[in-house]
Amino acid sequence: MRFMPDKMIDEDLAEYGMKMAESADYAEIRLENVRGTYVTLSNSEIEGTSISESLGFSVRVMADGAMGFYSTNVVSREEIKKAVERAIKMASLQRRKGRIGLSDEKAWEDRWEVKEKEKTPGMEDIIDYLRSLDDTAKDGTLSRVFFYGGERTEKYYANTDGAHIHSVVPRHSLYYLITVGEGGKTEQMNREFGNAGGWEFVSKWKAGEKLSEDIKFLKKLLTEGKKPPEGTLDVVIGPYITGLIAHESCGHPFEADRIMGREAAQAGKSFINESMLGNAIGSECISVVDDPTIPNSYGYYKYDDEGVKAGKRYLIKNGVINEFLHNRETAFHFGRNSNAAARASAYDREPIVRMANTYIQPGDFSLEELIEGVERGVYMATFMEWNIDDRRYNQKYVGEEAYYIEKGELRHVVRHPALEITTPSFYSSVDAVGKELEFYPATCGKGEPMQGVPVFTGGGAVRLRNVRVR
Amino acid sequence: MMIQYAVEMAEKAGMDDSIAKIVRRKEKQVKFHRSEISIVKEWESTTLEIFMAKGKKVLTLEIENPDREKIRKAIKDGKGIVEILADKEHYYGIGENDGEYVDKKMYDERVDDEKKLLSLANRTIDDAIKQSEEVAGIIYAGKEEIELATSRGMNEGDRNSWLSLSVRAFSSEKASGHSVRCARTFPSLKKDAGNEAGKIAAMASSHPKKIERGKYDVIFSHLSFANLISYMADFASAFYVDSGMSFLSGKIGKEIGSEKLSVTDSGINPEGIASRKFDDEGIATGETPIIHKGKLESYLHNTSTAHKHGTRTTGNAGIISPSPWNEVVKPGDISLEEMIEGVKKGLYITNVWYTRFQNYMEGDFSTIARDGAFLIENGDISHPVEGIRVSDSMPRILKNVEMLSNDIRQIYWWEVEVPVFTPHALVKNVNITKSFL
Repeated sequence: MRFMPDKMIDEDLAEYGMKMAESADYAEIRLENVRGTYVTLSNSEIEGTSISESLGFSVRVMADGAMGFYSTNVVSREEIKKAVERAIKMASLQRRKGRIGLSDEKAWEDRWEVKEKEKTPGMEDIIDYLRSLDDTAKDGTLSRVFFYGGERTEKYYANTDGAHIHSVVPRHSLYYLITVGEGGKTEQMNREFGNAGGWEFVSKWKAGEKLSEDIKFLKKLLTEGKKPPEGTLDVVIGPYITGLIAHESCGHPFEADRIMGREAAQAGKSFINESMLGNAIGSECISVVDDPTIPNSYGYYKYDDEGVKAGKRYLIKNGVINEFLHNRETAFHFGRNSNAAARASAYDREPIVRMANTYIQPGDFSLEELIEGVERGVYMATFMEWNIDDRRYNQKYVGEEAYYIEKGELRHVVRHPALEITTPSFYSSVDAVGKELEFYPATCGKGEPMQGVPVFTGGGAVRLRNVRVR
Repeated sequence: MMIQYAVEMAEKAGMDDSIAKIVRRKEKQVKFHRSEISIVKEWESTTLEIFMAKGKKVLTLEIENPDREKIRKAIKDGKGIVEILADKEHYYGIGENDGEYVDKKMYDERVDDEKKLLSLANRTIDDAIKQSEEVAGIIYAGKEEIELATSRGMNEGDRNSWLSLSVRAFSSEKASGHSVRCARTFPSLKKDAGNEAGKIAAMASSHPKKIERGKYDVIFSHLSFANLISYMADFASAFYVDSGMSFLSGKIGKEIGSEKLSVTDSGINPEGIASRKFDDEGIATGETPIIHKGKLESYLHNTSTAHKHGTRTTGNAGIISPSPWNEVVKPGDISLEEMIEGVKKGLYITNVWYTRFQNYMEGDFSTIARDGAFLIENGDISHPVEGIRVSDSMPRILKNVEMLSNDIRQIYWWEVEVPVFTPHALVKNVNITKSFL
């Protein structure tokens, strides 16, 4: 359903805005229309169904060496003129000592779209889908909650350098949290599914199968789970967790805005600094990649929200710090070019440095081979609790699906082994990387106001030698 | 008026219940880093939410910058969707307000004056940099007008203003201090955050010491205890309880905390930056004791969750999920200094972030200390400590609250999304962990 007229994005208005902004050193405009459908199902009951449609724009300018931003959801020539004037005023009031700059980038003109093979069905079918998942889970769980979201984002971006880019990206996502109980104790598992693309991906998620496996495992954990071994041992970590680690302890500290302190008050800074480019941070078998251009990935984009064309980025290459994530502001600051990491979660948010799809590049080993090489250790397949400090140095991952390894074989289920480790120790302790590349969707939070952006995390499994677990 | 038109259109479409809420909001933000302004932002928006129900079939619509044409089309299409929906078994209609609207909230039409905000940012930077090397922070100010109409004949308006200042000072790569001030009006905002952040940063850089993993008595600051209480407040939502996302499930009437601990949800606190005159059903907000002397008194309800739980709404709708307003932790009667003096071996944690749960039902979680954590030895702060993490459970933390200080402060920032008025809290035997390598 649509509340608004068919022609949502009026590109002439954007061009008018750029003409109005001629007095600024630089200006850009993003017009966005998002149509969303959301359903919440909790314990067999449809708790909420909602439909939303938004249309709005923002203008960001550089004037007097400073940056100003204005956004509204009233879209008209008058408002665009006002937005440009206000953004210039917001910049000129600042009277900075040092001037902010933007790197010089090619101005692209393009129209791109992520195609849908299957259109989003009606609300009835979406609810039927969630009910089928609930049916799968209701006998084996104490409680379960499902959130589905489907969005179609149409965007038009223009800047005074001459970029003009129109895009359409549909996305579907699903989240579930289940609770399984036994003997007065409970265990929980949550999972997220998501892709850029059409409804055809929903069946590819095989969420029902995952749900059944999770329930079965949680029951086993409750009835057979043993205390994890403590002390120095080897740990094999599956892609569900290695992706998270790549995101948290490589992607985030390699964000150049953190490195230059722009997010210091909220998301924090980084233990990495510019002088560390080219330094070894881990084993030679470790490479970490961030790639926005993986087709149909949850974090897919062809151009970033500053109009820069996206490509694959090697953050760590063969154990060496290779590249940071940049937008045009950080690229100017560091004297290089942007690598298209500017993303804004909505029309009313400024583009800041973000990841897209971050993963540990797969190696040569099967999961069985990684486990076979362990005399005494733990295999962690999934997690619930994790965190990392705001310099991205000290981190903790607590296994949910986890097993004790003895003499190269999985022996029994263990309860909540915790790996607390520093970033350099983690990457230096890896001696082998799995060859199976798996991706998992997530929503990455950063910025104020908060900007949640869709990403993939992933990788091959890894094996760590001689780390402490408890 | 647009909201009345929406309710009329919903009734004409055959809906049994409808609510229309329009919010007109203006906000500004000054962000600074490396001791200079990074960007100044301004927003204006108008958003309409329509809730419509036929029998037990419910749907919510959200329309930005609404006009009559959009409303008419949305309700027409929404009707088609409602007709095919399954029943929401525990939907029991929208409430009828029988309480009195209390509106003693402070309001400041000029809370978002950009020149004042920039001046405050520069003053805060200047104050903090006197005791540190680098300063970053944010000032966020906004005001809104809300109008709400329901098919029960309610038609009310409300207005709010708010301002929050969050500043972080760095005295070295690893040592920092953080301070937050928030208020509903510009004049009532204390302007000392820069000084405070700088002072903590200076303390944090002085001879840091490594400590062992283990149990410590911990004094949680305003910022760090507010973080834990804000999670607790979310867990008090009946939706979280019913969906298996709360350790408070099944605990009404039971002892869940120390008898020193009382927490009230307040929608009417004159200074609370989330205070509202009415909830999303139009029910007058009020005060709901969640924990009284350690006993769990109430969840937070809308009309339907209250009916399901056999109680009355607490005026916390959210139509789907009831949500907290401001939390108020009852203060104790000693000063922070006296509290520190009473600790033989413990920690003073000035801030935490990244609180994550292993199991929401059990309340097992960890959170990371940041911005100055200090070892207390024999009643004195002796050294800063680095790289520590609270790895414990919410039920244990709440039960081990030993003392609360007499100074209360409102905290609302990036890591505390529900405003919390809180004192410092001394919690016994907190499990502290850190990285092995």
